Amino acid sequence: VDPAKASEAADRVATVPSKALPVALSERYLRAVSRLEARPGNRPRADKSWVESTLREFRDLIARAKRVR
Amino acid sequence: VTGPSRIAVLAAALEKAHVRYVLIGVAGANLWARSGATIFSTLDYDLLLPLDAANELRAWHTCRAMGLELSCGDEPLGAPLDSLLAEQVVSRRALVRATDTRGFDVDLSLIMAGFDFETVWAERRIFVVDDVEIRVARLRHIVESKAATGRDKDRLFLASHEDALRDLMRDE
Repeated sequence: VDPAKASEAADRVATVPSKALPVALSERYLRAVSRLEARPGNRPRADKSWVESTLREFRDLIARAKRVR
Repeated sequence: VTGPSRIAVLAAALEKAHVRYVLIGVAGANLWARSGATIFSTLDYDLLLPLDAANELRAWHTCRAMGLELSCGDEPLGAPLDSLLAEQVVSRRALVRATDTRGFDVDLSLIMAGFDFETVWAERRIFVVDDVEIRVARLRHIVESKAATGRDKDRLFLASHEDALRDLMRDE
């Protein structure tokens, strides 16, 4: 790899910060997030296979959908 | 479709290669869900990696070994995948995308708005998917990062997520 070319290519893809304005989150929402984190179903090493299988089923459903009219 | 999910296969390979990563973004938030009603559709997985060229390089080789194509910006990641290239990418905090071109897309990100890797790593949660441990950012870190980024799609996610958690906000 030519170092100069590699450097040029890397400059083209450098991540630039978003210019969008930040969103203010309410304390009520953040407390709800903390409650969700603390639920038994979210304990360390909880089995979350159902999340991926649900998403897969949803994606498969969308992929098979056909327009009928 | 049977067999382990692609993200579980990738996570197992990353673990074997000693790659440090944390799953962030909507896919990370989904693993904190209580039910299908609080899962959000997303087409890609965002992995936050530390600013460590050797770790980045191991992640690339792991993805390639899985048959994933790597790109940076609109260009394929050149060959050879070596430490020089990894150092260039890490110094620019550039995002590298890994894809099987059939819908499994993984973004290898070096930036999470409002957070550095070590903070997120220190409070990561391990969840199990298809018998594989996956390192996931705290939900609070994910939503705070989305709030800090503030793009339209982040605003939409935050509004929908807040609505999905409304019952947890009710009994105060």
